Amino acid sequence: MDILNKLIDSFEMASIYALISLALTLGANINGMINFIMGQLFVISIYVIAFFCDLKVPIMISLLVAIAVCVIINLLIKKYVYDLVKRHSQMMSLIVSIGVSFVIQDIFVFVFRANPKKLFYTVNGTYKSGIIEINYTDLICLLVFLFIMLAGYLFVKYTRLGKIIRAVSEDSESTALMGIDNDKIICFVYGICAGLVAIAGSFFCITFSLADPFSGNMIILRSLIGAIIGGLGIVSGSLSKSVIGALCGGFAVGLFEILIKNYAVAGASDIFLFCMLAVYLFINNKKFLRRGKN
Amino acid sequence: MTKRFLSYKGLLLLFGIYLVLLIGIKSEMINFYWEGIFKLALINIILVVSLNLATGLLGQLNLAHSAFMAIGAYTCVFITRNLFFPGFINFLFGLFLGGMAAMIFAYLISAPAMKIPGNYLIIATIAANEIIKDLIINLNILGGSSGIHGINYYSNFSFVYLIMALIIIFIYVIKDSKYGRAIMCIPQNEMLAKSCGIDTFHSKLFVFSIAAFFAGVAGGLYAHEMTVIEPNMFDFSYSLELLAMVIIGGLGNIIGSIVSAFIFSLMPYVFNIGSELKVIIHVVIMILVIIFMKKSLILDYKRFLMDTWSDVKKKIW
Repeated sequence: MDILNKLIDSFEMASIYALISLALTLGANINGMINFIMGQLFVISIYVIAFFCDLKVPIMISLLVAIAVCVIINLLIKKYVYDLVKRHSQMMSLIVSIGVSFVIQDIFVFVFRANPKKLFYTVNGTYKSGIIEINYTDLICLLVFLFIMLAGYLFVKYTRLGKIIRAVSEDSESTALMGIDNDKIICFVYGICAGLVAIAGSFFCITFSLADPFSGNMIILRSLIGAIIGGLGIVSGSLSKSVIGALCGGFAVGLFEILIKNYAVAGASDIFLFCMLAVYLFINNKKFLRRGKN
Repeated sequence: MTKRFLSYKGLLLLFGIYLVLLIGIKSEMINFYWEGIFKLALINIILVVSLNLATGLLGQLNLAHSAFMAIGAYTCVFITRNLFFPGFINFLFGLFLGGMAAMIFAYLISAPAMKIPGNYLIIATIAANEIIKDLIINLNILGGSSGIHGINYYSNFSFVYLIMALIIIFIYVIKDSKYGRAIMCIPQNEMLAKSCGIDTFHSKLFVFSIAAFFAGVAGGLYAHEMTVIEPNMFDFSYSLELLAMVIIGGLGNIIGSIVSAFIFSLMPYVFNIGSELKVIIHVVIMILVIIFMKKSLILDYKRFLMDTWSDVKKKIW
């Protein structure tokens, strides 16, 4: 039962990956572009929570402030960078988003001097039944993850706004003709993505209780693997399915990572993950060919 | 432009710059420290020009150039240490085989990724960069994260300049040939190129691998210039800097990328800038260039200046 407890321990990391890969999938569907900023929004939310932690504010309030800050930053970057670059090819906007994320990371390193900062938000205590032990942090992360999965699926599938989002991601030109303001919808989805990332940041705060400017970079790559394995909205076809696909993909990446770390080579989990991605792409490239809309 | 550069004027220019720098070094106007920096600038020029071949002419964005360089560097060091030929010949073998190793690796990652439409090649190259760095850190034969120390010093100024000149001339030859013109029409309209009988998939693979070959050669030169290599030298931000230099110099514009590589590799030493600020400056200038280029990024600066000047005139009058 050692392996089961190890898997339960990895729930926090797994749900962080899952939330960020959901954000990546939504962004990629609505705009056709993978938004690399998410990794840095994650770091920003951690630092905002850390700042409020110093003032001894309860975590829910600091989480709300972090969500607001992330949404504002994401929308500002969309308006003043992405919209200006949109007329070039999609590759250019991808490169610009990678570049912006590196600029933000280096600003953080420049300001906060690369050494991790300690926080004191922790949730203590474990729940025991038989051989299984669950930390309360694991439990909270898992519950929030399941809630977001259910809520996201129902929202995208059954509400009016969700229908509009699906329509825009399917064919933005026709929706513009139907009188839908595409830009508003895209901004709304960008806001949701930033909010999800901020929630993932709060998970990181309560589990590891430290703030590190370099943590965003690897997390974005791993959750990108999760998003691609979940289909990125291209393979599964419909957005409501790909919400669940992305969440499950990200979660699977987290579980897989902990298995490799414990039972194979400790430092080389990224190599295995990227090889997994390569194999997946190699096997499934026919599907991508059929559905590839970019 | 290309014809003119390859004619005697261009070669004379290349040789003239070499003579000026060589006289500076021999008469000790340029001291040992600055000589090293000039050599790094020359190596950066090789990298940027070869990246321009893949990114500018072919239109395939490549973010693993520093990983290719790392493969070249480690292979070259391994061969110069273990092959039985006398010193410098060993080094030549090492450069060639390092380039070949980088080329094979580039072929292996780009062949599956290029079959998928969309931006998957970029993701594959980012992943490749991380894989190579992690592999080097985890393999004890390659020195782990502390790297390899005490490498022999072979890359003197004249040799580096010679290799750089050869690579620039080779890339001009490619660009001018029938094959090069076929390559250059791929990014503009791939379907049209296919229907004209160009084998787009294999030419993309071939040019991508050639660019990786040059990156491997540059890595070998770099290793035998610095005499120390560590995995952290070849991280992702270095690839991003190289790509920024290519975009600032202009996609497909080889003289532009030579100039931008030279300026941007001297800049941190002239102004004493730390590594974080260096990345910020590179990327911010790159984003500004992308934002302000009106029509396409395959640019001449001359035309760009003319366009902006006419815009400004219209706004004023």
